[in-house]
Amino acid sequence: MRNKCKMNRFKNIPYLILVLILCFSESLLSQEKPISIYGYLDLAGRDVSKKQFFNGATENPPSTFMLLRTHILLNSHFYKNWKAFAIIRFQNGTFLGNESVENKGAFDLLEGWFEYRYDKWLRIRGGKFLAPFGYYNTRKYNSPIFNSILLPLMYEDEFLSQTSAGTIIPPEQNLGILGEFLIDNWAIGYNAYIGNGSDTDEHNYDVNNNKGIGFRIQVEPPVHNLTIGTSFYTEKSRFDIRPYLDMNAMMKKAAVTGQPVNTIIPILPNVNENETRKTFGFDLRYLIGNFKLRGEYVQSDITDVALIDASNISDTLNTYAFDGSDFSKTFYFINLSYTFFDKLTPFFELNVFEDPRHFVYRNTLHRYTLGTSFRPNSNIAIKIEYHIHQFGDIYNKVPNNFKNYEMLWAAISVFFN
Amino acid sequence: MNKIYRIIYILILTFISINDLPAQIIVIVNMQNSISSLSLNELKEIYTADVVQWESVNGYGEYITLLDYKRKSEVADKYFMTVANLSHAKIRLEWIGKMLTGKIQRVPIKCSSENELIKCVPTNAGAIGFIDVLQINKLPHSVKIVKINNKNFTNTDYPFSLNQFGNSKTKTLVISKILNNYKLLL
Repeated sequence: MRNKCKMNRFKNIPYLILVLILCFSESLLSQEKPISIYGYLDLAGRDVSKKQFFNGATENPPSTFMLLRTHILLNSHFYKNWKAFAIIRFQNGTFLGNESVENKGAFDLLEGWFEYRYDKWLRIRGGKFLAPFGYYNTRKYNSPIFNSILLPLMYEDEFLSQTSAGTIIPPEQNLGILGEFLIDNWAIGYNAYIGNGSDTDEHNYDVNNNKGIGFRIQVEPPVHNLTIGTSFYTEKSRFDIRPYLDMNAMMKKAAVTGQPVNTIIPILPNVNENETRKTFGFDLRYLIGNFKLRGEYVQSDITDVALIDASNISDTLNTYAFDGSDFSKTFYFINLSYTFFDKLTPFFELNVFEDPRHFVYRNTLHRYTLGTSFRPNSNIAIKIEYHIHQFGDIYNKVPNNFKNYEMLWAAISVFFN
Repeated sequence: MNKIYRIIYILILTFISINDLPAQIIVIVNMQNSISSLSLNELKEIYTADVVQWESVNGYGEYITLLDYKRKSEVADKYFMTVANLSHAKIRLEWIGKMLTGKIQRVPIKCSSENELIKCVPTNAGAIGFIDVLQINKLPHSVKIVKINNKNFTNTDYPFSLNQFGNSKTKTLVISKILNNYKLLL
């Protein structure tokens, strides 16, 4: 794991050097078109209530407060219609979970791309960029402008890595065309892109096996401040999977072997399988004065499932199993907010996630969030929010749902330029 | 008695001045920019960074540099509400969002005063800014005023005219400034 993480860091260095050379050489050559450097700091802390699993096992995550991240952005229009853009993240602290300690002190190139602009309706982008899937994905590193601290569940990498739910959002892409044009006061934007896909080797290098492709169309009707979009992405590749966890069997076996049931905390097996994923998304954003409504719905249909290595599935309790059938994951969120005096924005957000392959839960998760942000000025956002998680179990038919848990988060985002 | 006549004369002058002063705000660009008129819709596209190059609105091929004010002001709020239906604070957030996604080429320049903004325009070929019409006599030759919706700022149906744009507070401000100009008469 540690080696893999180190390799990840080194993997981005050639991109980074290229971007920096191009950006800075241009800034030296021309005073007219300097590079713009700006960024933001995130300082966040959280308190989590005791988590209780279905079998009575408990986990009590510690409260934390630490400087999480610094993002530096480089933006340069370096030659005629060419531009370069990069986001570099310095992970000052660790993730707020119980893993990924290796990330502490790491530099990551989150995005690094070049773009040629032929016209407003045709731009060509190459490098490493966030997939234009849904409204949120290309904005997932925009925390200074968000009112919430945590992203919607499907974008929240840390949550997904901890619960092993697995993302259904496309990974970073490598080549794309995009543009915007007007038809009878309807603003229409499009994106079409191709990427190396999710498949990597143990060092996280692309194995050049299968490619992912996708497109997005975004429409802004003459109705004021309404944006609707639809996205599609497909990829045939190798993915980490969450084998079926039979919780009832687990409890019964524990009882038979005399092991106290409440001492067992399920551990994620490391298994891969080949899959074909077709992911469809619909998103909407509507502003009426100070009231804002945002929502997204995403469904991923997973077919052609084939297990690569089943050796890790077997465990002492023999409760993991491989289910080779097709399945679907769905996700949606709705966020309602209202801004008072351009400074105070309370909001409510509902997230729903359903994943039949979810390692621990194999069920549904509802996250209810109440929060508010306060902006003394446009560069600073002070945020606080309260989350209630409710896990349902529509697959295992376990008598009791998981005990719900709550989280309290507080954060400050400071934008600088 | 003589003083009363003078006061009446000043009041008449003030009244005439207000009615001859249809614009509250004027939009300025660099003289090199070939643009001479912008529609309100084009201004919206510029200020929401949907358009980032002057070429897109038939102007000089330079990238657009937005000039903004550091401090919040009622005039700026009104201007951005008219142009983009967004308050000054909200449009700043819009800019930050577009900077974070790499859409804006140039970081908007925040000026501490109208004088500073006026000085910024000649040194930035792609600059666009807005000032109070009362600052018009401070404009150098390298700065030009842009018509809005093909209307000169002296036209009464200019989008930022005092009648349509100013409120009682700004009108009072204008009156006090005009009176200030005539104080020598007293």
